[in-house]
Amino acid sequence: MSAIDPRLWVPVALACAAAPVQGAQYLTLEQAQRALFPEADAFAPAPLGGQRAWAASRGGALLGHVMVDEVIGKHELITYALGVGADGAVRSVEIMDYRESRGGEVRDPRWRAQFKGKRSDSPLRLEEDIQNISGATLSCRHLTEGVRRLLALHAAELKK
Amino acid sequence: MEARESFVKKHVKLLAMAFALSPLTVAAQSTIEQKIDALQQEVERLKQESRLRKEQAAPAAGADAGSATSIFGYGEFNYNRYRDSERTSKADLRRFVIGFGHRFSDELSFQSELEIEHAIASAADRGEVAMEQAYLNYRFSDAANVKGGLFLIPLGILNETHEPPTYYGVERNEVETRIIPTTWRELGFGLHGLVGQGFKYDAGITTGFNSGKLDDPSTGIRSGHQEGQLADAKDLSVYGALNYQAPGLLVGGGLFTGNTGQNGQANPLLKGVAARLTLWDVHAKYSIAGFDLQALYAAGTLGDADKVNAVTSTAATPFAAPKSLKGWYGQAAYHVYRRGDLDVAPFVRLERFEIRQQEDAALGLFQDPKNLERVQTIGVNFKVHPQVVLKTDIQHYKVDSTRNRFNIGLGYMF
Repeated sequence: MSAIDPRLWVPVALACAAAPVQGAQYLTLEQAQRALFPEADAFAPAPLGGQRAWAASRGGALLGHVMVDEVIGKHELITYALGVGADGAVRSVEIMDYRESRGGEVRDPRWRAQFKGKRSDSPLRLEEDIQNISGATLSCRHLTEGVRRLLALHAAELKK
Repeated sequence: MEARESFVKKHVKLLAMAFALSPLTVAAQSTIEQKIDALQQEVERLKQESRLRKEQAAPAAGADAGSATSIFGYGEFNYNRYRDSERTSKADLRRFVIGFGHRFSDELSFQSELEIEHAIASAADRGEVAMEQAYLNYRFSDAANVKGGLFLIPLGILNETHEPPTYYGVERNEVETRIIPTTWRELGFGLHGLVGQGFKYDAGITTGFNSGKLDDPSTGIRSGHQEGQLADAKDLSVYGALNYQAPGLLVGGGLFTGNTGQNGQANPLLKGVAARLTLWDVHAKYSIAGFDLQALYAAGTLGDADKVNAVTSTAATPFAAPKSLKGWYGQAAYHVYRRGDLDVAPFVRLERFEIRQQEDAALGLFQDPKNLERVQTIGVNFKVHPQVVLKTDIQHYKVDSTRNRFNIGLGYMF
């Protein structure tokens, strides 16, 4: 077997250079709102207990809330948006910003789909009702805790 | 902005008062009040919107306000008590690892881990200070990242994810210690990313092993690793790994191959000897209904093992290079108690590893049976916090029973 030619990595680097550069932002606020409530025709700012939030409505009828929050992944912040329907059930979670070089698997729609239908009284514990992604444990755990906190806040504020 | 808003509000109120004082009918008054209410609401809404807009202009204010530099770490304190009176039982600050990361921009970041093993490193002590990783990563997109520097080779489950709360048992499993030499890092370049739904690839060119340094067949090819320390790099290696992940599931494998003769740089007698090393593995991890199941198979071959042995043999290590190595393990854990942060999970692991040596009857060199071993481990991981674990287990070695031991460990990561 011949030795490996170090020049081999040059085409690899070129292939990378040709790839489009993409920042850490995956979704703007507007895109996240639209992804969570595609049928809404208005998003009015409606902070819930100090948390950035918007009331999504269609023809004046409230559909639910979009809450935006940040949690630490391993050591960098993850910005995400939670969509909660007027019935108090989670519609979906959207990752808006992810800055770490590892653990980006939390953007996998199948992982995020686990939150669908969760309510403030759901356990929302990693490895219990939310399955983990190996190698992205801290991001998974902190996002799960974030959603739990937002749902508690949502429930408490709407009870007032 | 605030001042202007309160100015508007004040004038709206003054205006309202002026109207209120004028001799109007009650009906008209109530209409005006409604209008004032509407105006006040409008002002409140505008105020809120402008505040939120300011917040959104800097959505990462929290991250940037702190620092683009972060510190993290992990560590473990282990106690090994051997049944055999000939073996010494020991307590050890096995690892203390501190990591630094820095984000230069959204695309470019730096990661590093500095490890201190066995608490003290000095000429008179057994400890060591080592870089576990230090590399730069540039993200073109999720699907394409380039890394360069000293990084972990993506073989097995443990090598890249080796923080004590992430695995069962006080000691790392034998297969991912003796067959895959965890924590295994090389200097080089790699291309990695997430593609499709759940696929993760990582491939690159790195430094490789140096068979001229092999001196301990019981740990496979570990003694030939170079760890980024003035690595002989005449012979480079390539690696590739592909993993598939879904919530609760991981299936994947990796391959690493390259020559290790290094043009005789470590031992002139190895000049012209290729001594090609190939290591590969397949692994799976699945969590369901409170169970954590995990299995791994790893194997490898070293070409020219006879030549390597012929030139590296000494009286102490007549048999330095293994010819082939393989091992597997299966592990099952069950979460018997979970409440809040507390998590108690007993586990059992069965392992087998075979490090085949190059026998030479003429020189009286025969396979050491201790390198064909079967190990049973039974224990419990007790997490007081998701990132802090207390572990204990009993290990039984089928061939070399002097290794039978009882372990207690305390580990953390942040």
